[in-house]
Amino acid sequence: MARRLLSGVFALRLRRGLAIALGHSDLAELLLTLPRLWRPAGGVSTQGPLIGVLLPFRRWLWRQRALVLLARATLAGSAYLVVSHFLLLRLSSSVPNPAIWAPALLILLIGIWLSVANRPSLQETAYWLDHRFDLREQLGTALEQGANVREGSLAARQVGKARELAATLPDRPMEVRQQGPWALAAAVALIGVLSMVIPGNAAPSAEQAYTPGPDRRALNTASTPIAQLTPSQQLRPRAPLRLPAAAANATAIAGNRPVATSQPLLSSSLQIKLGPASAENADASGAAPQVGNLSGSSSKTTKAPKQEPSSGSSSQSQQQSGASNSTRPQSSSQKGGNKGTGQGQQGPSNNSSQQQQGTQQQLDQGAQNLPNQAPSGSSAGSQSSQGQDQTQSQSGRQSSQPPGQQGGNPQANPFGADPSAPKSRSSQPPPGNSTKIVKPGQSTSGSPEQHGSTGTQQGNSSGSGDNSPDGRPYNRSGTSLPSSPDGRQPGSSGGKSSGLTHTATIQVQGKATIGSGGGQGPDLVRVIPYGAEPGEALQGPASSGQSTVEGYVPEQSIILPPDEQALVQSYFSNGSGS
Amino acid sequence: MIAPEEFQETARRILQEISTVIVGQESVTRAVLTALLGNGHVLLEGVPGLGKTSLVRAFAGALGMQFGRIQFTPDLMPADITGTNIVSEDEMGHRSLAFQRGPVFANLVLADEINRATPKTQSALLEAMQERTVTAGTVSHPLPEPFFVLATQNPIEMEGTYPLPEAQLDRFFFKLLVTYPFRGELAAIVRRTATTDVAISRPVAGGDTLIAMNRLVCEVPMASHVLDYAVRIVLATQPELPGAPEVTRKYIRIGASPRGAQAITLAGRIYSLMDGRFNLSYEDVRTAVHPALRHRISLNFEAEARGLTADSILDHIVGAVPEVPQ
Repeated sequence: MARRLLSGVFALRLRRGLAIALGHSDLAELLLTLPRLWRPAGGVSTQGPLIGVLLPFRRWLWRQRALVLLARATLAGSAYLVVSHFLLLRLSSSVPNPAIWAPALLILLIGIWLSVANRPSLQETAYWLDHRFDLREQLGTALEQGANVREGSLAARQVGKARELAATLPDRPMEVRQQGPWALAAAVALIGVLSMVIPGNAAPSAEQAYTPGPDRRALNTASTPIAQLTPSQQLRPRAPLRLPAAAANATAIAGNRPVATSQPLLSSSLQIKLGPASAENADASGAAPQVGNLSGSSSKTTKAPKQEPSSGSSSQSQQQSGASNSTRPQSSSQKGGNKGTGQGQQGPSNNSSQQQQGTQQQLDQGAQNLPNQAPSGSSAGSQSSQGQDQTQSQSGRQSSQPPGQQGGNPQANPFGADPSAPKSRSSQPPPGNSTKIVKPGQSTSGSPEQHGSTGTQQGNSSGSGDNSPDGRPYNRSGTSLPSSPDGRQPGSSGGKSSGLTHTATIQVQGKATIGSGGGQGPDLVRVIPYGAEPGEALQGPASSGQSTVEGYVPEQSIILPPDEQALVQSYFSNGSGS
Repeated sequence: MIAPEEFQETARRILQEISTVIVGQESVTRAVLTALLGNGHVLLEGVPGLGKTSLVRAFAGALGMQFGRIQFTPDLMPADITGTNIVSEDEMGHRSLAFQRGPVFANLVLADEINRATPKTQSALLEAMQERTVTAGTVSHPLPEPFFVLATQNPIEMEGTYPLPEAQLDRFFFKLLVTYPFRGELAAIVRRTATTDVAISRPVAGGDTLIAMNRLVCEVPMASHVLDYAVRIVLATQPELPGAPEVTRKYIRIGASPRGAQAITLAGRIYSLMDGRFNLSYEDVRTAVHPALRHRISLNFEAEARGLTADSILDHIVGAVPEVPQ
């Protein structure tokens, strides 16, 4: 290695690589490939009569070569800027700007360095001139003769003849057309810079990636005050969310009060997936659209293929990361999630047709009817406790706790579920890729008395207060469940929350806000889809038994990924669902 | 020392004089002159009747040098070439051994059909060609200066012939292929030989002139990168060396010797002087590659089975060796 370094092989290869980079054009001739290894036996005399003739040519050659290299470097750096910009736009990655600029700047610096450092030697200059003007190596030979040639010898005559030849050479040995490369480099550079500086097209920063314009505007216009979660929720130990701070800020609820990342206030009742609200992203990159999962959060999906190593312990962080498998794309044929999940239902689910309903229907039915599912939810929960779940959630661990120890707060549920809701309604699987199926009985929540769950297969007994981060049980979609056998969570005061109060799960492309209702009314959840006006928000009581969900929900927000379809299908096929 | 311009003019006059006898074959004539200016020997190969012997005779006449001719036959003995010690008796009746010079003692020796003699006889020329001496017993007899051997051989009718050994071949500066004349050349040959007047070349230069021209050739400067190019070409003919071209590893059994590189550079410098330049160029090297190396590489059986010639392989080698090493 050292020998090769000293001998200049690497330098030679570098020059060869540069020659290749220049392509097969006239400009390629500027990249000389004279070997660094080759040196005249006696060295090149700097006093030779040919030195003064060759120096101007060397400067010209150096300048032209530097310009070409610089143009190429500018082109490469600009192209990198453009490509990286559009890639980041597609991926909605939160790569900071330095990560974009730094490589481009590095490329440019390398180009400048090569331009300056790649100075041709006199031998190279002579070789190039010989080759260019077909001088049959007269200049190169004369350069080696130096000044110590014997007068009257053949070598002296050769030097004199070469000097005469060099004097006849034009000042500009070659007409280099650099307008093309420079124009191209300038155009690409302009595009790259414009794409970076224009706000609308700027590469999403960490904050911008989670706070698109329409959503922020919707948040700002939201009038509902921030929901005040119960102290029991806040006191619950919980793993910190792996959500970037900017993302947490992006989920700021009404009143523009950001929710800190480490605080589970929002996630206890709301899960929001942040990402570009485009179907392309959902299809291609696996990043789900912004999804507000009004469910009991912090359920940790332990299904191996769906987890990413870097994902946080909570599903919320996974979802918000935009890259986890839980946010993989969904097909329109699976929209509503009900369709897919309903196919395999064998249990008491007589609502397969309902499961095939669309998003709006699901939202309306699933949210509004959930409170009416309480009576059957218990049985469903007991069925689900047989254990088909492949996921594990904190709610599952919580469900292993006695019901009396459950610390869930039904008010924190985004949509108050009516325990009296029909069983068929409750059997609707939670749509969306954020589904977290909690096996009521298998995953630490197998005690039948903990059911209290709804037809949404909330097999968790909703009673485990210790393990629940928010003190509430979860349904399979992570929705908080009533912690008590009667469907009411401890400390909950909201309406008819017995067993089925918090089972609604919706996924929307928008921002969700939780309003406390000013302490006078029930807490509200308001979800504003991206691009929608505040007036089009979905709104429903957070903990009351009457969930009123209205508005528009994009279709792609409720598409269930195939693997989760299978999961839900398996769940229902075992008779756990209804 | 002769001036370069005089060198060029002398060479031109010699070639012009040869052309009065030999129709066509300009490249061969030029190559022969190059070999003579490089103080080298030439092996001429061609089918019978192409004027190989006439060419040698023409050069002998144009250069005004002593000419010796040896017809190689299977029963030719080395002493028939170099000479031998014979017992001689003087007037007093005293007998003594005296060296009787052979036909090799001449400035220009024509070894006609050299491959018809046995290797033993062929080897008689080894010392003469390389060291320009002939040793008989314990006494070495120097050959006259300049000394050139122009040998001919027939590529066909190989039965009863003895291919020259590599050591013998390596001593030839050039191996030239005498090709069949073109239509116009053939007509000129017939027209010229149809008369009773036989064209004979006149001396336009002498041996001393050739020696002076040879000394001037040795002063022609060579650039290092051009010399490196010639060396790399010769090394590319070595199949055992790493980095040898694929064609070399596949078809060459023995590569060229250092004499090949010497011949290339020397011939290249002669070419440059004849062109009015004073330095060796890449093109000069490439021009000298084939006549200087075609007899110095030995092809293997696979190459012969495929009908490949040394020239075709050299073409590949020259194409594979760049002027500037990559």
